[in-house]
Amino acid sequence: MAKQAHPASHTPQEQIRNFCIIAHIDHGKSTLADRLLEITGTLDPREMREQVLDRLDLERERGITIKMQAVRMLWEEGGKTYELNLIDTPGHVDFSYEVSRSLKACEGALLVVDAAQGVEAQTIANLYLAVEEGLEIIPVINKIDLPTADIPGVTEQLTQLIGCREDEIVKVSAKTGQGVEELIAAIIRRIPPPQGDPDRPLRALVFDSHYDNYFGVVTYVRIFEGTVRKGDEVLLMGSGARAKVDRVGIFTPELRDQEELRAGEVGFVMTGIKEVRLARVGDTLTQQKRPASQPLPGYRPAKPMVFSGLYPVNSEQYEELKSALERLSLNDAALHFEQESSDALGFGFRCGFLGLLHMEIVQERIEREYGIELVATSPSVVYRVRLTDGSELEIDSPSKLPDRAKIDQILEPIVEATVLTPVSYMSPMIELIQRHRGSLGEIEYLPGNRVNIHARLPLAEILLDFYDQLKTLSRGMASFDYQLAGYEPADLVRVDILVNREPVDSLSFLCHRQDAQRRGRAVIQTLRKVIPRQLFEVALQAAVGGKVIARENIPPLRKDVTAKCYGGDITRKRKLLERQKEGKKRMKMVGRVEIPQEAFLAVLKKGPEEKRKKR
Amino acid sequence: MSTLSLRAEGRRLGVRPRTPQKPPVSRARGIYIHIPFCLRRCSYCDFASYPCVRISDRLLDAYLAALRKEIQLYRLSLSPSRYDTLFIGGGTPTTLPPGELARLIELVARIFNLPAGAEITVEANPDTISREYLATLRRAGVNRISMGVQSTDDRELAFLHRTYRRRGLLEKLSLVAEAGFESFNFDLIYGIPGQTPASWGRSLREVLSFHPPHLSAYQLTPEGRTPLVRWISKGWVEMPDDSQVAELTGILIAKAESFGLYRYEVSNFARPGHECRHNLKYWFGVEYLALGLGAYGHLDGIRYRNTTSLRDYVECLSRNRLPVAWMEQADTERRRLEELAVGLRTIWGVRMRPAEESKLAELLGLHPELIRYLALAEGKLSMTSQGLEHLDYLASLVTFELSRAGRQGEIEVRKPPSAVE
Repeated sequence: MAKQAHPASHTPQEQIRNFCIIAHIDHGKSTLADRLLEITGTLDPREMREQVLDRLDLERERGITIKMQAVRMLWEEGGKTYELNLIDTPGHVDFSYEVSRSLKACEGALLVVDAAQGVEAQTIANLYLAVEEGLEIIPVINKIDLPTADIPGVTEQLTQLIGCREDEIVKVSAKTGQGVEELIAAIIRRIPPPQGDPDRPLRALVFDSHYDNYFGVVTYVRIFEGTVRKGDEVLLMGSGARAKVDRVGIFTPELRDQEELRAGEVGFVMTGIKEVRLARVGDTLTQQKRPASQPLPGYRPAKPMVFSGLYPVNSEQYEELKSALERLSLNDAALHFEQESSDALGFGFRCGFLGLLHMEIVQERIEREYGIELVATSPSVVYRVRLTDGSELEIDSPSKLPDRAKIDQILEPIVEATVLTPVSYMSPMIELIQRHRGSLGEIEYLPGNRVNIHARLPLAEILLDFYDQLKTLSRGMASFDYQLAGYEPADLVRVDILVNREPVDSLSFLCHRQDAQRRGRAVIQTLRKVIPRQLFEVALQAAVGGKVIARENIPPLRKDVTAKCYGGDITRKRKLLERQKEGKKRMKMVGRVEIPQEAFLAVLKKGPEEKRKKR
Repeated sequence: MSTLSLRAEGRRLGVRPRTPQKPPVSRARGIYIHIPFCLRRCSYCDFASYPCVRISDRLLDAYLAALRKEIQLYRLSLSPSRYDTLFIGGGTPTTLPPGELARLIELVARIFNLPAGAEITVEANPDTISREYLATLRRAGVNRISMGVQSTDDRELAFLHRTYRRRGLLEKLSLVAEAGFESFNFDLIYGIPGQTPASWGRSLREVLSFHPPHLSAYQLTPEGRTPLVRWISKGWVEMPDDSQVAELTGILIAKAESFGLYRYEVSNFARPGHECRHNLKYWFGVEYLALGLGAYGHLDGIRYRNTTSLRDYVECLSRNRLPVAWMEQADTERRRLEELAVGLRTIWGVRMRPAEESKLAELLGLHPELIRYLALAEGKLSMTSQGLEHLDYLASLVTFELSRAGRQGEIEVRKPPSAVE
């Protein structure tokens, strides 16, 4: 066994192994990747940054991987030099499409489970994806050096879960490096080499891409058939974009130019394309002159499922926010945004995200990397509305809901969710699901006194406090995962909020009829607390289709004058007036009622209790 | 709302339909002197004041010497100017021996050339005065006494940490009323926790029975690091709400009115001609010299405040330096805000510039209900009696409207900085 420099010639296909790592957050995927890079000599320990595969600070801090990367490692065994391509996958199902594409680029997967934590819902979801793709699974128990490690318990979970033998499980400590060489041996022995004819028409799967200021879009590809060379005229079969190949190469993990990439190999292709949208994950790269007859299956344009309004706290930062979103979307084909304005919040953007985590990551990056303080409105979903004339439209904001008379049916997005919990928290979890309009599916009993509860829930129901409640009710023991599962009709109504009988557009919302009264009341009770008393009585109402379902009154203020003795201290009087006057700027008149911006925020903004903890 | 119904409203509330003429405000400067000593600190008081028991005679002498030094320093540094009011406040000036006050007044009158008709006010506390004390002040030229009565109810007096009680209080009030001063004022406080319409009515009735030409009634306002604020934060004490205070205000206005006192400022009532000339200077932008610990002054366009530390004050003056701790030169916009902040508190209101007037006329056109609160006539904006009760809100509304560049209908139409492609 020896460490090797990268040779210029091609490794024979039977000596290539393409694999990925599936793990729950914090179960040590990044540390294991680091150790593999170090032991194979791909990176000098000196140049090792902690967890090189997680490029962004934010990812490192949150312990999750957002953008995938790939890296080629070389390993000599039995007189042969093997090329091991580690393809990184995002760890969260908001990115399940991305996960599935990167799995497709591999022949095998390491299923890494923390020896102390055991199997989590998310791991299972990704495992199923890997099994569906026909990948060879190598179960790995990590963190065996931990004093709290429960190796027999986790071994039992794994054998039950994937039906493997105990001796197929590799036990490692990514931290100390214990067992990692055995793992490499298992990768070479058990994961099959790629197949595919390098002389057939080119079919390369784009499994990731990133935008580079200088080179434009860098696509990360797995070549299934054919060969791609510098100077080739290529075509992206999904988007229809055409371009000339400027550079091809591999990841070491830095980009290194090669003459060509051949069937079975993993690497990058740079073209002059400037938009990630045109070289989207899942697309197939082929030659213009000799195109493949069929693209690789499974291409899907990114489709945002969760929407939220993002507004700069300081309205002067609108332009900065716009340019931040533009820059982020260069690298994030799934991020959608369009300008919107709200009476209460001024000018901002309606943004579409793949899911909740994606939304939070984008918000945090804008706040952190661009220094723009944001107001984010409560997330909402996209509804489909079937009209009486047979047409169908999608709406992402209650204000876009057509006239009631024209609506035949409203459909809402549904998710298939799994909640993995110790048996002792099963009944609160079931209650939680039912309270969120969920219908229970199968309940699997797993070793270690755990159950995996399957359920179908409206996506809208898991947007707000579902995750927090799940963690609270289970004392942090339950884990949760979901996947979109289409649309279903639902009895949804628009709740309007009226202030002195005038509707306030930005406060309307859609919800299930059975929740309308409760949620309408909650909104006007919040408003009652935050709208200051006025010269006049203020009536607050929640209404569905003109019918008032809840009301509150704010009695008029009878006296509002400072009548203290202030002597010659005129400045204090002036300062008081200055403050009061400044306060007026943030007021909005609805009829003759002044509503402070804080009142809108109290209703529209994600409350701190809704902000989820690190996942 | 029509003029007719406004009148009816006025009658129902017992408010004079016509505003008394604004008294002439002299452009001559005023002088304020702060005496920071009290028998005991009141539970609500946030002014610079030291309880007498903690003050040695030596420190007291040092303070008076420093004050005299301050007067001399201003004599040297100020350009000649006219002065025609002197207000000695506190604290409790009458904790000083009457001779000391007389010396002080004599010095100020001499240095600043107070004319014969100058208004000279001394604040007093019921248990620091006697017939002789008042006579000494009168001989020294004092022509106005302002007595802090606050209440005639023992429970309320105890709550406020006042040092006297109802018993004997009324005799002290009659001493002031009969001492022969040209004018005198009684201070009262309302909105005291536990105060009822009945106890407030009785305080008013008893105090007004001496026919003071002037009455100041302040609303108890928790602020600063006072015991009152602490009690509230601990939940021991609850302040009355706005509707309870509004009821007390109604009683106040009606009672004062029935004794011939009209409300000329949010907290001040007077028989016509007995308005406090010194306070009018504060409210109409006339400058005033301030002397003594923590005093606020306004000279040559600059507002300033003296240090509130007794030691710093004495030490500073011993080194021939003015003890000014803060000053500010207000720009035009701030000065205008000051004019509005205090001017709108008087029934005479503030003169509007033509552009301001048309903005306000537009506001009243869009919100006719405001006519109940705001009066815009003869180029002046003033508050109706209803308006005075909502002044904080209305003043901020008015100043906000005046500061707006222009109006485009009810809701400002804003254009996005740029459209998204």
